[in-house]
Amino acid sequence: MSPSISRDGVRTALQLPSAGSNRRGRGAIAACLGLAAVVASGWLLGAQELGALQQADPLTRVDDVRTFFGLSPRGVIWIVVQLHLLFAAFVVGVPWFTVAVEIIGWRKGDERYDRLAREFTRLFAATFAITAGLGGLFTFTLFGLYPKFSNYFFGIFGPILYVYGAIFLIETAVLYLYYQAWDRLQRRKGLHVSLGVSLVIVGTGIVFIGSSMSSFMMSPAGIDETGAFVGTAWDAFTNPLLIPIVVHRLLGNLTFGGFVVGAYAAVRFLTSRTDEDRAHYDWMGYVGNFVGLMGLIPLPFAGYYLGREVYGVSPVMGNNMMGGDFSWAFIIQAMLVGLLFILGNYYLWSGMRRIPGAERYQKYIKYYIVVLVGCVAVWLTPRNLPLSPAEELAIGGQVHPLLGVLGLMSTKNAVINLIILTTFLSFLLYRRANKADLVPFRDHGLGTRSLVPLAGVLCLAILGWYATRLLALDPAALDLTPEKVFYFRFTAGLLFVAMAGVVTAVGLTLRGRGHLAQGMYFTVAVVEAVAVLGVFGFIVTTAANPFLRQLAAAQWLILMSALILISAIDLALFRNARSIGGIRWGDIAARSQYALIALCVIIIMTMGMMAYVRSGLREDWHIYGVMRDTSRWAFTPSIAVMTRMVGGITIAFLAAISFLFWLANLGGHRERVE
Amino acid sequence: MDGPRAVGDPGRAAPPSAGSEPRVFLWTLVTLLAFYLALRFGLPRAGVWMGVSEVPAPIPVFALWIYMLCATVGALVWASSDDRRWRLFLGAPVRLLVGGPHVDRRVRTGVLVAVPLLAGWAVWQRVMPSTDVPTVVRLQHPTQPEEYAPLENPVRALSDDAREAAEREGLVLYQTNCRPCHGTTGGGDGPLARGLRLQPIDFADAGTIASVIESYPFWRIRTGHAALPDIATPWNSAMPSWETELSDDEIWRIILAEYALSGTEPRVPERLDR
Repeated sequence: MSPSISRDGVRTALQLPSAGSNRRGRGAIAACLGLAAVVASGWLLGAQELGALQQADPLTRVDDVRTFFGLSPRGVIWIVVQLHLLFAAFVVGVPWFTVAVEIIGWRKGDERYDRLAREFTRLFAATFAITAGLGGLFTFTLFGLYPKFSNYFFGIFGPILYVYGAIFLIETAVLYLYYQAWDRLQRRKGLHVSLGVSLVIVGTGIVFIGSSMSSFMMSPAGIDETGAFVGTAWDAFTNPLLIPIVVHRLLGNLTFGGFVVGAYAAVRFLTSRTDEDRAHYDWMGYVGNFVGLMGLIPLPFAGYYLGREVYGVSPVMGNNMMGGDFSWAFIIQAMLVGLLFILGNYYLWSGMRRIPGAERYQKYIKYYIVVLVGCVAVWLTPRNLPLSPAEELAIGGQVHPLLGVLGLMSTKNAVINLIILTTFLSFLLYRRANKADLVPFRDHGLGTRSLVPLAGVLCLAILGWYATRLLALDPAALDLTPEKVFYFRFTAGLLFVAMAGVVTAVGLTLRGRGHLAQGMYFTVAVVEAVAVLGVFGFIVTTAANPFLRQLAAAQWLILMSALILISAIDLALFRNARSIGGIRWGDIAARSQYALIALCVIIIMTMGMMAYVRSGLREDWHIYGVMRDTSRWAFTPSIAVMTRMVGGITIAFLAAISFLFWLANLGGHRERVE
Repeated sequence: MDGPRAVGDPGRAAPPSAGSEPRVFLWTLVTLLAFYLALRFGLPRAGVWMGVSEVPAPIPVFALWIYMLCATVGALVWASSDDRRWRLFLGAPVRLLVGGPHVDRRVRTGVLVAVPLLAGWAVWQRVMPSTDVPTVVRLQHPTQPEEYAPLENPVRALSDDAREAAEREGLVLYQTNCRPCHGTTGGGDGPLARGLRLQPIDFADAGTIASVIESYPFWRIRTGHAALPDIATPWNSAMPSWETELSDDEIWRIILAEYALSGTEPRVPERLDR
């Protein structure tokens, strides 16, 4: 420990103003100035992007839409609601893993987990007020700028809004109780954990209600042929896109929360002065990245499910999404999500430096990189490559004969499955990095030995359930002719093959051949979910495309069965294995921390961009097919406008949350002093 | 997810990995160059070998850029995921720029001259006035006009016999009106196709008529290239408007025939999972 740090420590203990106080003061001024600059730039951005809108629009009645001091109402709503959504994602997403960390600490009796969970809580508690404030600002601006729409919309959702308000009050009470009663309930941890679980449940309720409003605007329910609302608030709430959007948002919130706290930990790591702090924040960053990747792994499938449901609501909306106006946004999304996977893996590989024995696995990393980067390259290949006239002539068309196939959905589904499996392999390498001298499987206790058969039964249940469901599926239910049942049977057959693979893998593990079992089932998953069903997807696209939804589900279930079974085998294999050495937390290169910060920035941009897509799919409709936006701002903003707006919102969010975290740490500093 | 148990010295270097080479930077450059050459010259020939094109189709500049960008990211990730390798990787360019015991002065001077010249050349290429038609970012399936979206093919509602008769009639109409460009089987290889600047699409390709609902080709046939928005590059299409030549009913029959000819099915509006 350096002398200067010691002096600070003494000053802190004596509650004397430390040398850091002045720095913190300057930091506060800098943070305030930065925030003000960002807000001002956001204001100017809105003004510039969405037009010089000083003149009144003769076609728009003042009681329909109003401007915001001359600024575009749509731009103002865009900025406010997006900032609200980003903060809300953080407040709702972080409690999920905070409670999990607290439970682990409680059950293990390990105070470090408790400290970590408490630090997470301090962060989301600090952002709760601004989330609520932005929510209120959003409501006021919506009523002020879009009075006609607001009256109609809130007239429909009236009773739901009362529930929303009540749940929000409960959320406020539970959140602050959970935060403030941390010390008081140390001896009654069960009660405190139950408060945390309540917080998660209430937060999920808020996600449901908030999402129901945006999903209603895309897929209105309770509407008659004339477009009049004849249903109840419950009908509006349970609109067709509610569940797909909620599933996608919950996973997205988890990913978002993980990566944001990861970036917070990275900044704290880089500015740490003691080994203890470095170790703590290194661990915190690892947890953030772990949570982020755990949420990210099922997200592509949740997105696919949402996309199929959007097609179900309206083929036109679906076409605009994947082949039309927003198709280029999805190419940018592929790039961003690809970067999330690459950087998440990169952080894991960089972290292997702190694990004794990890050098044994370094040689595999280059193969992972080739697969991962190759898959990302395929994923972001558009169907219509931008071509110069000379290239068009040389190719003889607008679709490249060789690369065009990479732009189709079946290819995308295949490569994302491979990306997920590769990321999973990285985790396996990380887990076993410091393990040696495995205990023979037969020498394990009953609990460990039964883990693998139990996982096998779970996989068999999942795969068997879906296979039998496919066999019982009537082609007429998908508007297909009877001979198309072949496609159902073929896919079900592959699921049965996977089930045979599960049984074999469990048998091999029980006979002490766990590594072989892992390799065998991993191969089965890659061959079936990536290669066979990837190619089969092209055939289904041309011959029985309504079945694509079931095909993708089969791919995903095979993938999930691989994650479950191989994880269970790994847990059993390495149980009580000799450790080459403990993880040297804090011993990690600084560049890996910049990867954590980049992950945070990228997830914010991704969420901002996908919100633009979801909202933009309605084109010039407030409520799709029911209430049209007749104002002059009812155009679809271009990709260029989107990138500037989302970029500005990302900077504003980062500045605001940095300021809030800084404030939270002032409180944390005081807590430590006390 | 073990908690922090041990704290190490952050300045401590990791043990050198077994596969590290002193010429990491050079080999990375060589690998990237080899990858570029494979993309530029190998892949088009692979396309011919695989039978997807008759002549080598060049890889567009945009694709080269994104693939080389991915390869560079991969190379940087590989180089920086190990401390020793990263130091070796950075060592070569740093020595070239600031000098070192084993760096020839002429080589260093050459690098210091070449880097700004290359940067200047790149800037010049970017801002130089050009008469070339710019590269176009194109949409595959632009937004279908609202009035077309809800339309359904009335011929599909007919009895089996009537539908088969309609399909036969559609085939005759297709061969008469569409075959010259779109080809006998809808492969985009009709006798007039070679006379067009860009070849018509292949209907059997999974990304064309199979990926849209039937009202989409109805709109496209009826209104032709003139109704396409700019984002779909109407100037790249020779598709005429058929609304003055064919009745709506005839167009629907032709659509039925096109799907039958290409062995594909139109996209069916999906049912919601509720």
